[in-house]
Amino acid sequence: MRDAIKIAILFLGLTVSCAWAASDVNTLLLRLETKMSGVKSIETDFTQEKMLSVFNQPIISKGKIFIQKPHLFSWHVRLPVRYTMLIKGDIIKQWDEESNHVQQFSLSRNPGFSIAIAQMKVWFSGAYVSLLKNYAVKIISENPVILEFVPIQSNPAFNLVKGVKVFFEKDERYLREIRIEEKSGDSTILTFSSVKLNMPINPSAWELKPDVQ
Amino acid sequence: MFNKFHSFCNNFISRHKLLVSALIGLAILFSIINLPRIKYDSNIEIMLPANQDILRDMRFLRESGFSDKLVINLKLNDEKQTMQDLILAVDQLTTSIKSPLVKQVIGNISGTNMISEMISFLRYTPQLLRAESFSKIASQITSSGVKERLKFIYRQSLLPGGSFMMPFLRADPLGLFTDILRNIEKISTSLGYDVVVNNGYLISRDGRRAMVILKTPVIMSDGFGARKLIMYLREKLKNLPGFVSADIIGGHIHTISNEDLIKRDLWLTSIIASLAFLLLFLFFFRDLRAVIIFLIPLAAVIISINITYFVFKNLSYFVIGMGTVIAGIAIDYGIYVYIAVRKAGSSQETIRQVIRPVIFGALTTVSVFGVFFFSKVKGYHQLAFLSIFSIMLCLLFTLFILPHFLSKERNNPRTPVARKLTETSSFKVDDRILIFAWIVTMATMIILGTGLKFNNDITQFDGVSKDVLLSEEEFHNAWGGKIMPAVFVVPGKTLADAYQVNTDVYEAVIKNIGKDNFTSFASVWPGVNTRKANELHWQEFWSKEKENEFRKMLTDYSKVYNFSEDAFQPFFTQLHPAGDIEIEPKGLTFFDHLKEQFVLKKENGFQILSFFPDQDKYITQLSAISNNYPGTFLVSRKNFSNKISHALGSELIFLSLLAVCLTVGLTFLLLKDIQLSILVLAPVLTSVIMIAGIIPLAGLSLNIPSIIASMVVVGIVSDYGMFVVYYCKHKFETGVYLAITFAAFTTLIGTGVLLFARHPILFSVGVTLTTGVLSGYLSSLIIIPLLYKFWIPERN
Repeated sequence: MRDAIKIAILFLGLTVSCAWAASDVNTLLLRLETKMSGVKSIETDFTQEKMLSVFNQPIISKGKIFIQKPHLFSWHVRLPVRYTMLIKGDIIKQWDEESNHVQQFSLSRNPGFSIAIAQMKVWFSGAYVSLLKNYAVKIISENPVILEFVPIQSNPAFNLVKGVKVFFEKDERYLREIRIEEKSGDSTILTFSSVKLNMPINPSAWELKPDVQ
Repeated sequence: MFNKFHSFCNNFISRHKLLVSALIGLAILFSIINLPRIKYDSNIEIMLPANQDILRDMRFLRESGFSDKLVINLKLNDEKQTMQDLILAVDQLTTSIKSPLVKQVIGNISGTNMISEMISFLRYTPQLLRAESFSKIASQITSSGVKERLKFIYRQSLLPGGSFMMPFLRADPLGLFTDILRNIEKISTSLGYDVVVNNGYLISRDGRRAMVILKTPVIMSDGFGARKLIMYLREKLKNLPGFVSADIIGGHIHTISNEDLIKRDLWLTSIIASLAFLLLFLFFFRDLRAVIIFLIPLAAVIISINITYFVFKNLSYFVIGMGTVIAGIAIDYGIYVYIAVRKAGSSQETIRQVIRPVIFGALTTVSVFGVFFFSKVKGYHQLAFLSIFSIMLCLLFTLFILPHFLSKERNNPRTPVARKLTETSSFKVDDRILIFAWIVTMATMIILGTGLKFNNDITQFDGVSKDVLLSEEEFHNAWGGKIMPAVFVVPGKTLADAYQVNTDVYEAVIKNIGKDNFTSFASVWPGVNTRKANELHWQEFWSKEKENEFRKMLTDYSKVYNFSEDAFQPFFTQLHPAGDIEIEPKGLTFFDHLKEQFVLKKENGFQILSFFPDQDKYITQLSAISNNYPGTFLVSRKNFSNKISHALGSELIFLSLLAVCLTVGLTFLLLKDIQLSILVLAPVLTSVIMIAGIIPLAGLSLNIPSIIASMVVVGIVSDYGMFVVYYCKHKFETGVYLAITFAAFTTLIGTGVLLFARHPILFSVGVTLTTGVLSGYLSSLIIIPLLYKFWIPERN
């Protein structure tokens, strides 16, 4: 009888702690979402470090990211090659210095690319509460905030992504770093610096030209 | 002989009036009680010719994957709501649909790992790469070619999501699979819908709409099943949040919308016709017994509907829709007898004076309907049977029963209108002016008739409601897919046979019209012989020397980019596959989806579909190719309409000629005079010319139902001509003009009410019949006496 009571108490305790944890994540995500909702535009430098099994060494690239919520996104790589990518809704335009060709295609027709872009947009959007439907969210640290997102089975990223760790700035208004671990064993670290929030963005950021500094 | 028989019957009925009345009453009562048990059929198929090609196409369209699908178009109505809210509504709807009426609900297609599936499918490259691709591969295995590809792979690795593509690029460093990927993409979108897959949900490009696809076991033409299904879905849609509206798109909704429209038309036209008939008789004749004339065709049609159903086991709504017209025609005989009896008294002599034109009038109409038995269209057989049975029953009631219920006294109708109508024989206007006006009218109508166009598009018979049309327009604006492609169908007893013929057809087609306009499953999965030949080419090309040469180039040039030593090992692992070539891919969702779209399992084998633009030039070219592959056939809406109009056009010419010959023959038999017989045809000619002029004037075009209606007009107006010429010849005082006037009025009530019909077939028939009967009536009363006077003066 005593054992049964112990088990019941233990079970009750587990249930309560799970519920507590869930409400904790919700509260935190809501807080982040509220803070980030004020951000309408972002301009930031980035460094991307990719550890891919196909290469002997990490691949490092540097450039700039511009975001104008809700629809505009541009990704300008300066090193090691010059490359620009613009996203407007479902349409993607790409340019690279070597080929000097502009390529345009639809995200819906490129599943791999589509998943990657969807991932990036999600982390930058700040709409984290809605992510609970597609990810299991774990709080790694509360100060500064570090969250881990693991795709659930119905998420298209489930087959590719093992987990994503998102590191926030102290003021929780924006991201400091994103670490993506893939199921293949490859991983990517994106680090942001010189972040400018809600500042006017140079119109050239939305052009496929290599002159963005 | 006939007079003796008529006298015998009259005496018998006179002696057993009560018994005969009771028997007829019972027959009518039984027929009325049985009416709700009759199974009506709204299927358009019954109105199509029983031509092998047409039936095959129709069967294909009915049994193909298109007819068992419905789409629910969900739309956000509130700007504040987001795509996430829409997705939640899709989830709510899809989980709530649980019914044997729905086989499958597709609201989300996630769970498919396209990249890993493509990598798995890569192993089929040796079987899929066409012989002509090897020259391109050879040009890539050079130092510059390999360097270029490595640079490309390196650049891809820098892109966001580039790492997701790496396993694929490692297994296909030369991009050999690119063409195959392009083919997969092309055939995936062959039905032309513009869908963005967002988290697996089918979302429109503007993000404000979502699509849910339903598969149902209910066939499109099953009116009862379709209604049950749509009612069920509408009930489920009521539970959606207020900010989401939903439309059901699919053939089933057309079926029930057409059925509702025809039912509404039948009720409306029946009520208008009944009221008009009753008012006409009660107002003009002021004789309660006149109601019997109205009841005779009604009873005849009700009994005939039951008998026709008993004979044919089903009854088309379109045939029933002609019921008021048949009643309008069948009532004429009762009117002729009634007016004659009222004018000359109910003696045997009076009946004998009208009996010949009444019988011959009925026979000409019966002969027109009778020719429809020679048609290949089953629906026309029903129409002919129902019409002939109704008319003959009406004739029997009129000749043998009606006179016993009318007053024996001579009693001219006294109403002012009736009096006026009896005076129409004495014209006040100069005869020459009337003839001139008739000629001018005819000339004008002939000129207008030059604008007459024949419309063979079967969609003109679709009387679907405006709401449904608006929903479909909105759906196509958002999702595309409005122009449906034509289909090239390749049948086969086994799947392997079908795949191979499909591949041979594909090869032949792309030589003629190119790849761009022909979407075939063969571009992704060819027949086993072709795949064997492809693999043989592959093995010959990838000799040990070639493999080593390429491996060395990759090792040497990849150092610049720091590629790992085993970076491209996946490519070499599957360079020499050892699987069973006859086994098709298993466990690949994308392949299963494509196969489901292109390959149909039939009772006796398989059918593989390919799609191409529904344009004349392609239909002509591909028909020629189809002729080289026995069993294959094309299905296109345009081609289908052409086949129907071709099959019916030649048949209708034959039937029309037969009807005219029978009408002329019977007229000659009655009048025994060529000149008089020609005069009878004057209203027939007038009606046909007027129909030809009025149809384009009303903005309509000639179609098959209007041609049939024109044939019916020939039968009706030849009766008028026959009566007038018979009167001009014999001068019997049986009130011919008044009788014809009432006969025409009643027929025009029957045909005129069809002008209130919303269904395009009934409306088109209404315009044709009303024009024909009205002009035939006027020319019988005005033109025949004048022509008779001018042409046959010595007989006056």
